[in-house]
Amino acid sequence: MKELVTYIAKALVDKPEEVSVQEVEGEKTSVIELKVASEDLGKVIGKHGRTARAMRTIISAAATKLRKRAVLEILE
Amino acid sequence: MEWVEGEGATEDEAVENAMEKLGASSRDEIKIEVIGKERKFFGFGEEKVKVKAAFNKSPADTGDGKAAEGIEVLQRLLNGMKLEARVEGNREGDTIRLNIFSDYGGILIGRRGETLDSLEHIVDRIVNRKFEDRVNIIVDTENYRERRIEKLHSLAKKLASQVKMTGRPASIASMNARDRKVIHIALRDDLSVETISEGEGFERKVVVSPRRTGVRSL
Repeated sequence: MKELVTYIAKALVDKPEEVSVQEVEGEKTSVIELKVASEDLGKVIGKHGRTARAMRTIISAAATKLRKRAVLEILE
Repeated sequence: MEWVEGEGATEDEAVENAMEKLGASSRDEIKIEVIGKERKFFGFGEEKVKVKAAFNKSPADTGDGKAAEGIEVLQRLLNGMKLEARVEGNREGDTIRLNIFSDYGGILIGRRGETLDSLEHIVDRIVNRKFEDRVNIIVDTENYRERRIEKLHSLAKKLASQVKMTGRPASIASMNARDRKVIHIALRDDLSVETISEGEGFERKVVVSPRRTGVRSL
């Protein structure tokens, strides 16, 4: 899941070298924390939060297959 | 073409490491070059192998850069989701259609096509990151897009006849812009009803109401 978020974030932003992703894995739920350069924040959030929403939906779908839950946190 | 480096005690381990970083699910998808082998402690002890790896060009590459990029991006998203799937794509004018073949239709489509729309949005953002040569991206699987349009058409017709019977407006909730458009178009030529979209953001819905004729409207 971490690789998936890393790939998406790096492909979206202008400064891929400043993308960092941490995964805190729990028994049922894992939390994925995404950090990007402040000027790239808009790129991972998108208009009306659409891009962030899309990432969350994709992560949830991937987690469904593993019978888990996954939550994406975008850190400012 | 993006290269990543992988490390491991053996060449196999180094390749595995590189595949993980790339998000590749099979060795056939990537090309590998060994960069170096190191022996620690003057030839004793652990060996360390470094390789570099990158995705092969997609076999569906038709020579069109954007279509190929769309296929590659979607394939990587699916690999990252750990869903075995194959992507085919083609370009017609400004539109790139990407079709997913897998055994995971249900997961990939999601509730009311939510997951498919999300994949589509992310591929769109990535492929259209640069301004030149903007393209429309359509992501589909198991003919979902067409099935959805047919379903919305019959829903629209049903609602229209309900409105005609009761003379009262009726609405369809929680739909995205694309679904709302299908409803508007489906009822465009029906002279006894009219459709409008109401509300903001994710709350926006289509309202079907009896069409006010010139004589009756006050």
